[in-house]
Amino acid sequence: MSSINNTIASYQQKLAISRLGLWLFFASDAFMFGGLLITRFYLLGNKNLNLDQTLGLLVTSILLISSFFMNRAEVMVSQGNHKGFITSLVITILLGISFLVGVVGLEWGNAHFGPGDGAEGAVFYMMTGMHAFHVLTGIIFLGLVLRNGLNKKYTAEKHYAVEASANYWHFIDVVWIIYYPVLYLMGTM
Amino acid sequence: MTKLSPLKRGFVIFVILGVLTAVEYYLGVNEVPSILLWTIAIIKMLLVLQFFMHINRVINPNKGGHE
Amino acid sequence: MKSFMSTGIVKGILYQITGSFMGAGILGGIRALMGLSWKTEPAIVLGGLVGAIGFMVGVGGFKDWWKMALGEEVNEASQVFGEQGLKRYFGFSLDHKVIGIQYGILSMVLLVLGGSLALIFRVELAQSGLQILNFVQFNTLVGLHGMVLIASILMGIAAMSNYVVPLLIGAEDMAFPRLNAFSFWIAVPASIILMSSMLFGGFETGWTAYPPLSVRGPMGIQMFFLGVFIVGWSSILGALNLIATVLTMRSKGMELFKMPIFAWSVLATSIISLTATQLIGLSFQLVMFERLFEMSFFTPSNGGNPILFQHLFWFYSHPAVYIFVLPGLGIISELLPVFVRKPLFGYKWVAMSSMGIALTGFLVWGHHMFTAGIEEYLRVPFMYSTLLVAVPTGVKFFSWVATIWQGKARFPVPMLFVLGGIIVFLLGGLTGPPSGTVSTDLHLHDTYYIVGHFHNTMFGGFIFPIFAAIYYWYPKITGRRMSETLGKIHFYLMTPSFFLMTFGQMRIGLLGMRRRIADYDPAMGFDFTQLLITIGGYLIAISILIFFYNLIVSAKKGESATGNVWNSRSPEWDILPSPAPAHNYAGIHFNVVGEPYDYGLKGSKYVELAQVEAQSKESDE
Repeated sequence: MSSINNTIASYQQKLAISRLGLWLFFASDAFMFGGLLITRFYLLGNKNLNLDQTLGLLVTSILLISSFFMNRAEVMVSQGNHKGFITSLVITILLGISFLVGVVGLEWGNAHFGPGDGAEGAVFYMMTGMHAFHVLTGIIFLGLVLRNGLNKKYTAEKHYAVEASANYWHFIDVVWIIYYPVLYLMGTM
Repeated sequence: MTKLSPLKRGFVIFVILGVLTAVEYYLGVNEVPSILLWTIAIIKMLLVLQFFMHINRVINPNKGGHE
Repeated sequence: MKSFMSTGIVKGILYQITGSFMGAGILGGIRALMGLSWKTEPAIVLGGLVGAIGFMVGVGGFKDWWKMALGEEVNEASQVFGEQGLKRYFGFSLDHKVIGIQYGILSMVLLVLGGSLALIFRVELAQSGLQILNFVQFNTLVGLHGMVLIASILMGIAAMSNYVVPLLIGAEDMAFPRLNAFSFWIAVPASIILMSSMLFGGFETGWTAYPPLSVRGPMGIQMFFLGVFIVGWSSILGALNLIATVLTMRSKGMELFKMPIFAWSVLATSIISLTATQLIGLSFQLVMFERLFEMSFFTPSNGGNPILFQHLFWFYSHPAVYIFVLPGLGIISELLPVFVRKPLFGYKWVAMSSMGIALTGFLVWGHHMFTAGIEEYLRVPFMYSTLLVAVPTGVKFFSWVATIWQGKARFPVPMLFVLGGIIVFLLGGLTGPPSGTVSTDLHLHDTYYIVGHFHNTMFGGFIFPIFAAIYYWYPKITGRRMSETLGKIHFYLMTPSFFLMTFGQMRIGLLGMRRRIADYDPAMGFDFTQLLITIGGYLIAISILIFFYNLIVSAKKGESATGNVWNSRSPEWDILPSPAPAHNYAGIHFNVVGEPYDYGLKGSKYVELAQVEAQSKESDE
């Protein structure tokens, strides 16, 4: 009996340590994204990048909806709803891929400047590129979670991998929550 | 907010985030001062941190739920 | 032979070489398919990156994570018993003590490399005129001397914190043992990449790599950027691990304000390196991208601004100085009470002063840019914030002086290095305010005075304390003591030579000798002092050779020392035998019953053994 209690306690403790580690990573990564924000305002000041507003709103909505489904997936796995968890996860991944297509495929193709065209190009491609890189890694993590989920590796009690990748996904969303107004909406033409 | 079931709570937060994004977009295309956009962005960020990322779990490791 | 080839590090290097050629080849292939000609610069960057990943694959750094990613169970780190003997230091080990030693070895290797680079260009500087080097070679050596030693220092503090912190706080291991091993091993290919910048034409910018020069010069700078970038990963992940360890792995009853003081300074350091390191990584990455993709962040003719680089760069690189010195100052505070047999004066203030230095450190970067053309209204605020750092640093000095006051001091070698560290760091501290004050800095900027000041802080804050730490914890690592006589020769040779070097540097700096210049006008009259500096540098090198001799020979022949050698109160000496067993306190429970530094207080104890029965079980195995 006591050994079972011990395992539970040590799982809880490991969980707490892992969560702390993940959040420390977010704090660290946030400084990198913050550095890019500073770069944007230092080089461009209050200048609007004059981007395609419809596309911007579209990709932002896609990422927001994907965050919603990510949250659903995490809640459902904790309630033992395996089918709902897989469905929500698949939707999240598909939305993530469409976000990438929207930014890297359409936005990069449509933008009226290339990466070498002055500070606007440099800042825009660097910020969206860095964010897209994180989205890509997020999709990879979610893909692994999906694979393990299909193999029924997660239970309602033990599913830290789901929680961690969900948190990572939400973190990417938080970054875009800041980057979207900064890149698309702020400043004057 | 804490009384709602986790699934419903997620939906409510999502709706609030959607409305805020729409407001943000409307304000943005009308070139309002950026302080308003910053305010909305930070509110959105805090909502996600609190309700989707459960920042409390790491601050109070003993109290945090596990869903 | 087969067992040699299967050693982690050998396999890693082979994989790195293969990976580098693969990366370069893939890029060349893609470009050829697109009908473009061969271009060396992107090829070496991609090659370096793939090579570093290849190294990690070769050394086995991804094996367990790959299993975890596929949802398989892996052993708990406390269940892994790696190889024994000398071989474990050359392969992927999860034991924090092994990793600590590995960090230490890498740090010492880099110390030798970086120091040797300095010895080469000191010969050039010993007299006016150009003798043995051309300008690009000289600049490359100066820049690499700086960055290789920075890497060495980062590895050195990681060595101290990895080895000592879990022992001090009563943990079995670090919070994330696999991440810990990863963050050590990734630094090895990074160091190789950093050194390889010499093979690709070197670079001309010095260690600061300011654009626009770094955007234009030879492409060795790309390897420099990539190497530092990857060392940055190592530093960030190591810091993450240390923060998690200190916050969550403490033994029962050890509250934050009852930790040994070194844990506090490591916590403060790690907060800086966790966050600020991202910005040097970012700034270097931006220059890399500017060179590779012509994204003009820093070229004014195309909308960029070179001052931006300096902001991003110094936002890390000034706090980095506190990353380098805080663990050293922690070592001083940790060791001083042991050797004067008195409580550390003002424990809480010392702990908080580390945090104070760390937090103030984020606000001072602008003082490197007084002459760079930043907005004039920024100068005075940055001057005040810079001088503010003197307050928490002063707290530390007052604490040390008050601790020594009326103490019963003993003077074994670690204590000598502690005292040397205090004096040299005091000199570094006193030469700081003239460089941080706008009016004087306008004259001192970019002169050898700054070089002298910087070497003071680095020697006082890192070199002296790490030697103290090595002499002090050596018996814990090997079960043997290092030779006191050789240690004293090391100390009494190194300290005066260092003063010769640093005072010489500050003297010619005040007279107008510029930094990073291969040649100077003989009419300036610097020749003699420059010669003295060179001699000082070589004497330091000789003293460090003596140290290495002592280090290696004592491991086999040193006087055996298994008990509480220094009569210390902290748990690793008070409870554990030497050399420290694998998994530290596994099966041993101790309670924290007193204050950590109440030396001389009769009958008081810091830690007390709670249960012994588990210990005998382990010795049966």
